[in-house]
Formats: sequence, C-alpha cells, structure tokens
Amino acid sequence: MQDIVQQLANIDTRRATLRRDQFEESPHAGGSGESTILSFKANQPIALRPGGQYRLVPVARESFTTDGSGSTQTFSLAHDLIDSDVSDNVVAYADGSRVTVDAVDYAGDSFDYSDDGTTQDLTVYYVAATQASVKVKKVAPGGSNSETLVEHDAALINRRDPNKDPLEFQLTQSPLQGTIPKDYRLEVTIDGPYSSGRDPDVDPVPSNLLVSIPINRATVAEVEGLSSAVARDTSDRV
Amino acid sequence: MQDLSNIHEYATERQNMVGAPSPILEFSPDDGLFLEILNRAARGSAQGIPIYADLQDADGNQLPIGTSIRFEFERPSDEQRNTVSEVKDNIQPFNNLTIQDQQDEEYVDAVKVPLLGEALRVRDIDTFYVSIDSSAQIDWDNSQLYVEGSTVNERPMN
Repeated sequence: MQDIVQQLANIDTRRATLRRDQFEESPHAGGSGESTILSFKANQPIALRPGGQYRLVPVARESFTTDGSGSTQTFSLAHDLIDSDVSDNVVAYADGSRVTVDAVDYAGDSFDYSDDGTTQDLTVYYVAATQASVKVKKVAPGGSNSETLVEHDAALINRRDPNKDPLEFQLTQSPLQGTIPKDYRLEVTIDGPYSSGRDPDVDPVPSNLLVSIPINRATVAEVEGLSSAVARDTSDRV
Repeated sequence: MQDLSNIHEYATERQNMVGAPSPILEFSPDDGLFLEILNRAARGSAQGIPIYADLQDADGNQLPIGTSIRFEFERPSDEQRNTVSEVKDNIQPFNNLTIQDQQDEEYVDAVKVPLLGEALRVRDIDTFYVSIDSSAQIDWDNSQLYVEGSTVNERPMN
C-alpha cells in the first residue's frame, strides 16, 4: 500500500465539487429498507477532500391530488416538517411546474395550496426531522465490495446550521479511505419511513435536496493498481 | 484593499441567461492598474474569497436555491470565459442569511468561493466575472453583491 500512496502523492489533482445533477438519481420508497438515491460513477480517480466541508440534505417526497375547486386546501404531511436552516423547507410542483404554496404550518405539519380550478397532481419535497439513516458509500464495480464512509441521521443533520457548523470529512482510518478509483461509485443511500430521492422520468427536480461534496480529481485517466489496493484496503475494515 | 460591489466604478451589472452559466457582474480595472485577488481573506479559516449577496429576480423573489455561482476570467487572447474557481452548487447561505449575518465570523466560511489557484491578477485588459447558473434571471434593482475587501489589492502596472 505504501507504494500506491507514494504514487498518488505525485499525481496532479484539481479541486472540484460534486453536485446533485452529476449523480444518477433514483427513488426511495418509504419503509422499504435501504436504497440508493444518488449514484456517481468516477471516470477518473477522485478523492474526498480531507477536512472538506460537505452538504447533504435528505428531503422527504410526498404526492397529493387537489380537488379542483380553486379554493384553498390544506394538505397534511405524514412526517415532521421543520423550519430548518439547511435548505428551502417546502418545494412544491403542480403537474410538474414549480408553484408556491399559500402558507406553511410547521407545528401542524401541513401546508395550504389553491389549485387553478382543475385537479392537479401535487409533488412536495420537504425537510423533515423524522429519523432516517443516510449513508455515503463507495462501491466497487459489481457492487461486491463497499464501504460506508459517512453515516448520519437525517433528523440530526437537518436540525443543524450548516453555515455555522458544517459537516466535515474525517476519513483517517487509512490513507486510501477517501480514495475512489476509476469505475467505482460514490453512492448516497437512505433508509427511513418517508419516500425520498426521485425517478427522473416521473418526478420533478428536488431542488431543496442539496448535495455538495468537495473532491480532488486526478488529472490522469487511471492509476495502475489503485483499484486492487483500494479493494484490499476497504476489506480490512468491513 | 477595497471592497468590490455591483456599484463599484470597475463593475458592470449584467443579467444572466436563464439555464446557462453566464455573468451577472464583470470587473475590469482602469488603464495602468491591475487588481490582485487573493484566495485568502483576513476572516474565517477556510480558503476562498468571501462574497456577500442578496440575489433576487424582478418580482422580488430570491433566486432559486439550486442556483450555482462561480468566478470566471477572460484574457484578450481567450476565445471564451474560463472558470477559475470551484463551482458553488447552491446559494443556500445567501438566501438563508442576511448580508449582516453573512459577514459574521461564524458564518463567513460558508459564503467563500475558493479559487482553483492561489490568486488572480486582473490586468486592465482582462475581465473578471461573477457568474451564476440559474433557472431565474437576476434583477439588479433588487439585488446586491459584494466581494470581501481584504482579498482585493489594486496596484499600478509596471
């Protein structure tokens, strides 16, 4: 491992930030166990930046149908909506276009919306303080070898002020822990009672689901022997 | 040291093109001078140039949270603008915090945009841009943007 660490030290890197639209998105159905909502395939070796400040805001997704009356209707959310400092608390879409809601009741976990006089399909993404486990994983091609790099409870990180107390990567178990070789994936998974993520063919953009992950990207296409070194390194721990 | 802002004499206010990374502000110094913009501010601990901003559209709504922000740079020999900073993928700190809070020592690291290099040297023939990629268009009657002064030095060209 020493050889490969030395080799990595000599590689030129560029700083970059991974954001949501660089990931492949998939939906999580509430209560169905752990599923991947975001997946990024590395085209070049990358490394999570040591001490880097990252953002991750898992939001809940819920759908409603309006009654078509054109008057104000109250919609009750199934989970604990909060007035947070992490993101926009409620983002609503009617028939796929962004709309603003009339009022939000954080104590009552509900919001008011008036439709345009026709029946509309409402999709709402909201910040919840309901407990759910959120993980950032690196996964080898084929998925047989994976390591959980960071695990959070959504109810904890959503009740934090990220501008004052940002989340930071502390990946100190080995020099290769934060390294993601070419063709490995960086995945975000969630296991919780509410639906999250989205099916990009069906659901609108969850613009309040923030992801920004600071990385160093290698300027070379591939590093010989890196995949097997990382695979050996991760299997020492999990 | 001098604060750069949208009303600075070197600044030109621009409106972004919706849906593409495009400038909202451009800076070019007077003839015979250059601006040196450092990646390190006197405040906070993280690297980067602090920006303090209140970004709104013509209806007085804040720009969407998913708006990304970056610095771009163009020399006369360049065909197009080049991105010279990391792309900040959301404007949550600018929408969530007042300009007063953004300058607070506790929050200032959250509003920094890190350069890819150590410093930028903007000559009188170069242009330095603040650019955004947004699904809405900025309206400068409702908006303000400042670049922290402790990162900016103006010098005469030799």
